[in-house]
Amino acid sequence: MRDSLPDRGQAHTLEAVAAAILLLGSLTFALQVTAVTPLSASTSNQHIENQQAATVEGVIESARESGALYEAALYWNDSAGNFHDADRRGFTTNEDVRRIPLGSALAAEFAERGVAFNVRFRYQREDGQERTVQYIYRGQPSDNAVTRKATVTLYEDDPLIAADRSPTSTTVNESSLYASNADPSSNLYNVIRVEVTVWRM
Amino acid sequence: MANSRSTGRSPRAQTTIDFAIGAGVFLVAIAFIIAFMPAMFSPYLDGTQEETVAADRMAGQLSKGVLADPERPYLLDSACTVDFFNDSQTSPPPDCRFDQSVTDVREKLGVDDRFGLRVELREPGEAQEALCWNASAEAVVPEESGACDPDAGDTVFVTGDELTEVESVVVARRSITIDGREGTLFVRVW
Repeated sequence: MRDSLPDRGQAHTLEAVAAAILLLGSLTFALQVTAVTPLSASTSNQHIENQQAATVEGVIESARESGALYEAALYWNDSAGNFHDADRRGFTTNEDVRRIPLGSALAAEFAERGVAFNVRFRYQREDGQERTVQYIYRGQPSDNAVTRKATVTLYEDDPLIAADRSPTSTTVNESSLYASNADPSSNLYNVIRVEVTVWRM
Repeated sequence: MANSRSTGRSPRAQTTIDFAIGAGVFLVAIAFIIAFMPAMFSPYLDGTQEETVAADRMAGQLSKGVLADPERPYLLDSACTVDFFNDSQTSPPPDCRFDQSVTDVREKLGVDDRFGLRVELREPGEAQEALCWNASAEAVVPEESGACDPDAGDTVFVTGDELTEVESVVVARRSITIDGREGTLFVRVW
């Protein structure tokens, strides 16, 4: 009996570790049970996505109004076979995006806030298949990216835009634009869909 | 047995260091759980969900229906915008889509009094200067450009309460064009 007095209180180390694991396990269970909604404060908050989507819509509307969308779709270097400030992969990734109004509007609105944007053009070929060409590429969009689209209609006698934003003498029909003539029988050349994707880096 | 008692060890194959480690692990776990308790209740506390929805709605309403023609969203009408931000109501145009007889911005938007509200029109980007309407030149200029003089009848495109410094503020933004000039509309609600 006298031997048992020093044995009161905690017994084996293993019991202490088991008790700690039990407590932490119950805490983890309780945390998993609590709900995190899309509006909970976090970097993937739904509110942020909504604001980005609405801002992109506004930029696209402004670009459509000022003709910047049209200019971006025709900013094609006919002799080189790609866009004017594109690198060898066919799209532009760096500060040259500011050379056209669409790029500079997007950069002014988004670049300072750590929000990246991609711009690409979607068009149809004569056989009805859709093709996409990338114009501005800033990386792979994250899971919380938003995309907004607008259409630009090209006619056969629209001139291509040179690097200094002046119209050239080459019309769309005589050039090797990324989109081909979808309807040779009429004055319509093609309908380009401009897709802008933004996401928080 | 006499040996074990004189050296202070029990006959149970556990040394003092084992006891220290076990007790230490247990106490660390207890302390961690107690420190974590407040964070566990945070999803159930009153967050900013009302303000988030209100800010988003107001920004959408302003940029697409109140200050702009609904058929041409995000392209603001200069005259109605000046009238919206101008609290003194001097010769407003008659057909703007908000209640022009009131001066408080909350009443113009139909928002409850319990929200703090501030509406601003700034240059594009982050933390840029506000835009201002120069009444004599009838053009939109930046506020710090020297061409904006509120005492001379120019309207700065900022209205609402002063920003709080203690509460959480929800910001909704829209990209707009006014008078051929790009800008960002900020609606701050707290």
